[in-house]
Amino acid sequence: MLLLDQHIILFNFQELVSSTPDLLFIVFDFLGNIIDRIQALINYVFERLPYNALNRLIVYMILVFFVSLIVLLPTIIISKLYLAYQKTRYNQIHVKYSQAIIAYLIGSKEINEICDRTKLKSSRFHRNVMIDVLMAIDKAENKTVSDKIRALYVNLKLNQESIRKLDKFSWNKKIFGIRELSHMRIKSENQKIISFQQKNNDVLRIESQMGLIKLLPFVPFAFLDSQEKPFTVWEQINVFDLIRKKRIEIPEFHLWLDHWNDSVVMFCLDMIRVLKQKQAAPKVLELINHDNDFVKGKVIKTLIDLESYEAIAKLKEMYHLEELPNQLNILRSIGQLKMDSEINFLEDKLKSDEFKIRMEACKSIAKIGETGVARLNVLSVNADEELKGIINHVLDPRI
Amino acid sequence: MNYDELIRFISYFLDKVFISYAFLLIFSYTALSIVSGIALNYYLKKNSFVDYSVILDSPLAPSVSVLVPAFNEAKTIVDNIESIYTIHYNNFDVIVVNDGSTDSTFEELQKAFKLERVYFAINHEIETKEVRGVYKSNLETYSNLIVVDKENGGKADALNVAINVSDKDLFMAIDADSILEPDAVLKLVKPFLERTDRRVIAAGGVVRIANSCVIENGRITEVSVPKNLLARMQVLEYTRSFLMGRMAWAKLDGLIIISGAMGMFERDVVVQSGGYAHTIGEDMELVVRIRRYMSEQREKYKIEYVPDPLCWTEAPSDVSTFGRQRSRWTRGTIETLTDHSKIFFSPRYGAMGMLGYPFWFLFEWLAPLVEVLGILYAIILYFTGNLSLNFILITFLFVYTFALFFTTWAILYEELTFHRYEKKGDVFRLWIAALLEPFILHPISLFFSIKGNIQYARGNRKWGKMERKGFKHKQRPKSKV
Repeated sequence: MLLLDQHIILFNFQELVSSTPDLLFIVFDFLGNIIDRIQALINYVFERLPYNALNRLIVYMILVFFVSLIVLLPTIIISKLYLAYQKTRYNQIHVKYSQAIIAYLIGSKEINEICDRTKLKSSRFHRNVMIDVLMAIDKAENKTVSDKIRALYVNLKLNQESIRKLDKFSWNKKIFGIRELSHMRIKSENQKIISFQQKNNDVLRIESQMGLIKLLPFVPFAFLDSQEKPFTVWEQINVFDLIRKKRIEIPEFHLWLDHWNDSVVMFCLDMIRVLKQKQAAPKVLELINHDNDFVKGKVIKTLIDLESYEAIAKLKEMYHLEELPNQLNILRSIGQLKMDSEINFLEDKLKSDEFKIRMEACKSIAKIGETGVARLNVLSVNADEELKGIINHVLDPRI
Repeated sequence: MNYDELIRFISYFLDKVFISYAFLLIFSYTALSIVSGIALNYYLKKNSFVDYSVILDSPLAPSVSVLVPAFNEAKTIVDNIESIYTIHYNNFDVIVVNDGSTDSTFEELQKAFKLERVYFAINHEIETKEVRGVYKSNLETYSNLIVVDKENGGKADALNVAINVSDKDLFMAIDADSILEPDAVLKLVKPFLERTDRRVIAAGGVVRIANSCVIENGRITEVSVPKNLLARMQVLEYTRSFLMGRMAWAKLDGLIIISGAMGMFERDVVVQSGGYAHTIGEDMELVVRIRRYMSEQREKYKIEYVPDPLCWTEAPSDVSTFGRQRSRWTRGTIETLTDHSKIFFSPRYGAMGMLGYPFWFLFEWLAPLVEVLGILYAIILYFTGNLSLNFILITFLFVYTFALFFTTWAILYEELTFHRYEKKGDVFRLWIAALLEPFILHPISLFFSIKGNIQYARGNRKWGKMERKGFKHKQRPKSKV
């Protein structure tokens, strides 16, 4: 039976080979006929239509749209299937490698049993899945496990794959490289990562900053020295999040208060404020006359959050020279320190025509405590309608 | 020149005008699709590295007010406010403005959220109608809910009151019937955090159609293609508009509209430019005005666009509601374009003046008019024996294949990017709707656009009534005391 089958198959194949020129002839003939018919149809359309050049353009465009449509429809289906296939394949290999690595970590498998090294060497897809698995398992923050994973990463020569990514043209590949190398603490490419900081691509810049913070644990914020591009709030939020989540040596942020890049100065002021670096207060006070109003606003907030009482006199002195946002900052800051002695200064501001100033001054008076509330109640008696409304607002505990 | 020559000359001239217009329109849409493809690709790559949760508990994150104007929304208002509380963000408050509703909107709010009147001093930075009272919720979960009850003054007036009440850095204006994605605020806030030398003054996101979707505890839990054909065709329209059009315009810096259903703005800029205007298309008008303001102040700025689906809304599923909406949109567009005609091809206003405004003028306002004139012209030529039926058919085929190709392209973008329609057969159903759209939705849309033009010419500046059928809800959330 098997022989017969083979014979039949062989026979069919031979027949096919021998008749191939005839078949091709028939196919070409058929296609030729179709093309001739289309050509005839186009010619017919052109002959019947009044404006020839325009008609030609329209008919060709219809053909272009139609062919594009024919291409687009299968593309939608194929892309759907391909994405689903990629996902399934990734998940399957991910599970397989995860199990192997966990078995290796608990000692039930040897390093050579983890995976097929030839596959890992030949397939970039497999290398990338393996890197993802190693990084995912390393999230546990256990030093012994972390060291073992790092050793495995180097042993499997996956570091070379990550280094190669840094030289790729597309910026997102570079980011993968930075993330992998910084996660695995591979410092050999630090210079290359530092160079990405001056790139225009903000995502690449952020990732290089984050990478450097992880790679240089003793000088994590060295990148600030050479920060030429604006250090956006988004970058600042990411860096701050990293500070909180990782065990990173936090520097004295006042070291960068004289930086020429105002966005770096504002970040440092925020860090000084949030991390309560009280020893930085004198340095912060030196910036009180900064040219940039936004920096000045941050200086005021920082001084008060650091409970720098000595700054009050200076703030009061500069109040009248400031724009509205910083006037409000000063009033808010004075209220935050809850100083009875400043009640007259605040009360004086209730005479202002500006609603926001009156509101902020009232809020600050109320913050002082019982004395403040009592003063507001007294003031309310003879106040104008607007001020009465503001006082009622401030004293309403439900707001 | 005799009569025949004159007719021939006019005919020759009109031929050229209509044909050039059609080719220019097709070229513009194709170019926009390509630009949006590039922008989407960049956004998706970029977004794959973003962890939005870092914004959640950061002390550096800006504060946001969610503004909800409500007029006669008694049926849905409570569900919709509860849906807002499913968003992921910490530093925010919700300001609901009852714009003199004649139904029980305010009573529903009062009952559901245990509202209590408070002494609230409002800074009238923008002039508005009289406020009757400000209320706060007694429920702990809703401690950041502020409800303002005011005299009826229209959507713009309600939003202006909410802006006056807000003391946050940014505000997000949404429609009372909008269902927000939980990460909507996080995603809209991010562009403001990425500010460099250009100030980010506004950000818009994609609005999707929620008809036939299932909503559970204020969240969309099951996305389906609408069963109603009219609504399904609007899904295609929205996909084209939001995913292809607006994405491209944001990339080209020519975006002049952020949907009224959801948009985020820097509060100070809006106040300085005078707040929402009392127009029919207040959403578009505001964007144009704040852009004008920034250009006139010679400040560098940009308007960002987030292509993620962030908000879901109910689309009209009957012709009369759809018609009212479309004629209102037309009137709104005309009003904004005529009010700001100064920016037409003015280099002072950058890409908005040179690209965005002319595009809207030529292809949004004039397109229906040109189309109707073109059809009338073709009919006249046909009956006078100057146009063959073949030419009409071939022109129709040309427009139809382009429309189908363009919509299919939009479906492909959706499938390759956000892929929200996951059910089997959804894409097929959408494509079938695409085949029918030029015969059903387009003529209806065209009719109501023309009606909108006529209404505008007659001085009709009314908003019109918008009836909502409500969403499919599985379960109502329980409030915590």
